[in-house]
Amino acid sequence: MEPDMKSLVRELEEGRISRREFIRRAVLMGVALPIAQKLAAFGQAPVFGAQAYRFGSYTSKPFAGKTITVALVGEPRSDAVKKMLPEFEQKTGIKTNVDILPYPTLQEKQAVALTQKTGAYDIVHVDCVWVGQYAGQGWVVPATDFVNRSDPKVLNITDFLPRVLAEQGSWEGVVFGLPFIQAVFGLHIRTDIFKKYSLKVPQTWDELKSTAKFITEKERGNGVYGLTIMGRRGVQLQCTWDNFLWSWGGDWYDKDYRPTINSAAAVESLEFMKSLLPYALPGVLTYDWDENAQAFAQGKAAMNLQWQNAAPTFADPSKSKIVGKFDFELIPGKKQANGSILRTPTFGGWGLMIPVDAKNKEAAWEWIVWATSVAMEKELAKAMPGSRRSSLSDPVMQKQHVEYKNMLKSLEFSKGRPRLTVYSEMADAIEVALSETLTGGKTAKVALDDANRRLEVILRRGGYLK
Amino acid sequence: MAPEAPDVQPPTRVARSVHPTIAATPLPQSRRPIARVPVWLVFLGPTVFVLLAITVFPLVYSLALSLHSWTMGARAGWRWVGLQNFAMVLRADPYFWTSVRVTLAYVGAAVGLELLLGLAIALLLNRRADGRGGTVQTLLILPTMMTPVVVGIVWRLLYNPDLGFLNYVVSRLGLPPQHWLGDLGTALAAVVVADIWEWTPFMALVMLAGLRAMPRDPFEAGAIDGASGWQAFRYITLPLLTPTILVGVLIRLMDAFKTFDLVFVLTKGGPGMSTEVLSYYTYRYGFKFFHMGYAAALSYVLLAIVVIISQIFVRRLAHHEVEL
Repeated sequence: MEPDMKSLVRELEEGRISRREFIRRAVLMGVALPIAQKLAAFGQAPVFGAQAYRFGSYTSKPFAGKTITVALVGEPRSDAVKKMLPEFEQKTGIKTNVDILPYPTLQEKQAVALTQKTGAYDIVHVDCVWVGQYAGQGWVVPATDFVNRSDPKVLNITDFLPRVLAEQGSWEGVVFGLPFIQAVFGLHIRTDIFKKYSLKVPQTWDELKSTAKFITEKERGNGVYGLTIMGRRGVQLQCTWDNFLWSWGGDWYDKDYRPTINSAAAVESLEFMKSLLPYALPGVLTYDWDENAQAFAQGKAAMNLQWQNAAPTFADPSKSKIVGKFDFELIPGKKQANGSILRTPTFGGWGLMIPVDAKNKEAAWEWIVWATSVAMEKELAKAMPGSRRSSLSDPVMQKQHVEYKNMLKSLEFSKGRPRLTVYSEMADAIEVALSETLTGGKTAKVALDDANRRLEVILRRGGYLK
Repeated sequence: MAPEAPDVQPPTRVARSVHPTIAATPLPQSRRPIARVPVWLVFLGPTVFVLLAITVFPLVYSLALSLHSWTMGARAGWRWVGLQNFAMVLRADPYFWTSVRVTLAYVGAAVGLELLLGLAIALLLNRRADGRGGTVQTLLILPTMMTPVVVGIVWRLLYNPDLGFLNYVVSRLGLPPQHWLGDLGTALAAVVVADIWEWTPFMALVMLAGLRAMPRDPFEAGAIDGASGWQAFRYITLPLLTPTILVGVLIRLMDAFKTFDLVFVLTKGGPGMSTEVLSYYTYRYGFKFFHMGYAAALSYVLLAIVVIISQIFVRRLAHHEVEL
């Protein structure tokens, strides 16, 4: 190669000239056109261009030809992103295998792959309560460097709601991933029934109870009850109760990891929750997410304590009898001495992170930036929302999805569950106590005392409680 | 002596003329017949290897695991704790004993009722001396051939409080809807019913085989002596059928102790702990909390319970003699 040609290649590698410019000058130097084009493509190879490339800019394709495997939880948004994969491949030349799995399978497969370091996944989908396990134990890589090397316009990290990014994407102040699916608790109401009796939307738990009682008494004859909740033993029941517990001022444990699940506030909040049962559908203690959404969609209850992600079911004419007759309101709260209302909606969601053993970490980050970008968010939020202010506050979006307005508001003061490695074990102990109390097997005090003893063992074994 | 001489031929020569090669030269080492190689190794080897690989190895591995503390995914690897896991299971884990009680109630109710129903069905089918009733038998076997998860899903739909068939029937009878799987009083019974539906046919077919194989003479003798139908059943059928009953119950017992799928699909152990059978409890420690050592200890305790109870049956079976 002649000296001129060498410097020309270097200019291309360092990104000082475009590909087109490279080919033009090479041809002028007497290189045949097809060869110049080959050389131009060669100059783009990651060995030369990757360091200078800004993720998400799509100015070149430094990772072309790589294949990445992405694990995603079985939710509408995962299916939506899968449909848009051709666009990603066209932009970047990266092939993507998407593995969409139901929650328990995803949990097991990822845990096994990451602990055994199989390299099966380039991107894992991380429930917000697993962040401590994944990031805290070094299963996933910090993303600070990747964030700095990304196109700020595409990534726009400040557009993510700060609370969500902190709870779902970060561990001890370091960003490990980006939020991808968002959910928050609130109160779904039937606007037609509220209008019929000129009722106000309940703002406090006491108002919720009196409203539920009123509607149940008026409408029971028509098969409609005041309230429906997810009361079956399991994570949904626990997340529902967390809304009560926190607003009563209780929590799972104190700052020294001493369990406090049997505190006076906790017992009182559980007793209050139980006192709602006479005004709830008779079957609520068998309801999980599906059954609860179904009952509300069939018009059997006037209010529903559930995540906002049930709303698309209610808006779907093939599944719902209440299309256009519902709204999503803030979760009720506990009235404070100064007259304000303390609301603590439970928060949930999923982030995308890159495992330590991933084979194509840079290609994986390119995918994450693409899938969570401002532009994609607007597309994907049609299926299921993320946590970007830009799309949740979009008036067009808010019109299409009635729940987005109050979802955005709720997320600002929402609260996440503990992110300790022993979360699922503690959650299970609490879920048993809740179920035992609501079904009348034990009193709230006895059940929560038992749970507290178990939490103590769990926290001690986990190395938190000294 | 002389005339005898031509007749006298050494037997070796005769042999040599008939089988020259065999008798004449010793075989080279490499061509020894296969009988001299240890045949047992050829036949037993693969079986023993497979058994070692898929039965003995996991047993030993999990026994070793049960003596260690290991949380999958935690930074710390296996840590030797001796019998601490077992001590914790038996002494410090109140939910373990709740789970044992649930399991015993479940196994007792399910296997007991399956035995009674199975025996009744077998007696009924056996009345058809012409051997007809094949259609009934085929239909009966269907639930047993289904995957337990499918059985669970079918019953979950039947039990659905709002849309389920059972509550439809209940409401037609003018009764309030029941929450079969959500009520402390009915949840375990509801799971047992699904188990009975699935496994009674198995019991019935085992009993029927036992009944069909019975000798006729004792019954004829009994009839001549004027035994009533009940007496013939109580003093002839039942004693003769006891070995079959013991085998049937033994198989179902071991199986019922391991029930997992039905509980997983129908109730996930709830409400409260009311349907939390031991195998589901163990599963949660292993694959939800990832405490592998503790889960291995729980599995060994379950194994011990099953072995002890099975041994009681096996002893009875071995010492069983029919006295008519």
